[in-house]
Amino acid sequence: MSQIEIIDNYLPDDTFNTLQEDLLSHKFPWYFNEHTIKGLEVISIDNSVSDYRRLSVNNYQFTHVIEPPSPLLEIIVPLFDKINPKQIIRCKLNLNPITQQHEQSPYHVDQNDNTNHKIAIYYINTNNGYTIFEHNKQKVESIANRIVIFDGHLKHAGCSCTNQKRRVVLNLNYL
Amino acid sequence: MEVIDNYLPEDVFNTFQQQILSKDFTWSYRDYIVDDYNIFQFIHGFAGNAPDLHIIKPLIYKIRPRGVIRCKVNLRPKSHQHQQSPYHLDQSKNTNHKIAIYYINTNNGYTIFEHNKQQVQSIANRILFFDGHLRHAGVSTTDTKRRVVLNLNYY
Repeated sequence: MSQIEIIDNYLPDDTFNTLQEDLLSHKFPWYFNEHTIKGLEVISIDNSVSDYRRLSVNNYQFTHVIEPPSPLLEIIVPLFDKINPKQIIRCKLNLNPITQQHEQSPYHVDQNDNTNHKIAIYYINTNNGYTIFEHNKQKVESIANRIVIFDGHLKHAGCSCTNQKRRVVLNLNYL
Repeated sequence: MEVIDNYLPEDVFNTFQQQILSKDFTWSYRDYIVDDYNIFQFIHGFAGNAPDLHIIKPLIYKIRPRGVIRCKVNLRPKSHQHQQSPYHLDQSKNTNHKIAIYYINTNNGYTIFEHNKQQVQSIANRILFFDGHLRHAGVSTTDTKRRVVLNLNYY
């Protein structure tokens, strides 16, 4: 398998539709996170003051970490069944509201302590936001029911959308 | 309408604000505001049996309503330009009630009234009281990550 694998129409239509409906529902709880990436307040893309200020005010997202015994796990079981991980390190939903211009997070690895794992990003809705990789600047567009799977050591970033009210992805770190 | 600043004692407000703005406080996405589907917000409702009702008790005890019709917190994320919701009534069928809007954080968003275009700026620990028949709108912030207000409809 190449370092980065993209699969479209990952789940069967009806399974995906149910999962999407549940995750985009007004009943799904979100948590407001002041910072998308830990430590961002003390770094910036190019260390300029203007970037620091811009990132400080735009650096936020809504998240939901799903872990046992959450009843919400039920929603994503079909995805787990298909990925079939040996062990789940973290499963997190991210919601980024629309921005005027694309806002890219800093490049990062998800687990700083140990990058010997896999990352799957599963796109819940279609929008013009994307995932981008640092080493080759490859962009993966946000297409509903698409999954991108890559090694945990690859630095990547998320980019907000400008054409939908929200960009929602599921981020899974696993072995 | 009436505007009161520093409505709750500072330490009580700080605890209140800390809990509402906490990363552990849950929000539900709403794909519209009033009837405008071009804008959106996140809300948190406080029902009569909600386990987190204790958060708003200091405010409710100070307002001392005879009855609460609805209590919810609204969060609107930062927008590039101010975005105003449609003018509206909170309870369209019966406007014989009071509305309190309590501002949880300071930002450049505001509340605006249709009849006189008066603006009430979002200042943390400020409260705005007005009659339920007054059409009003909320305006998003452009200078902070979020604008958070508590909206109480009561008798």
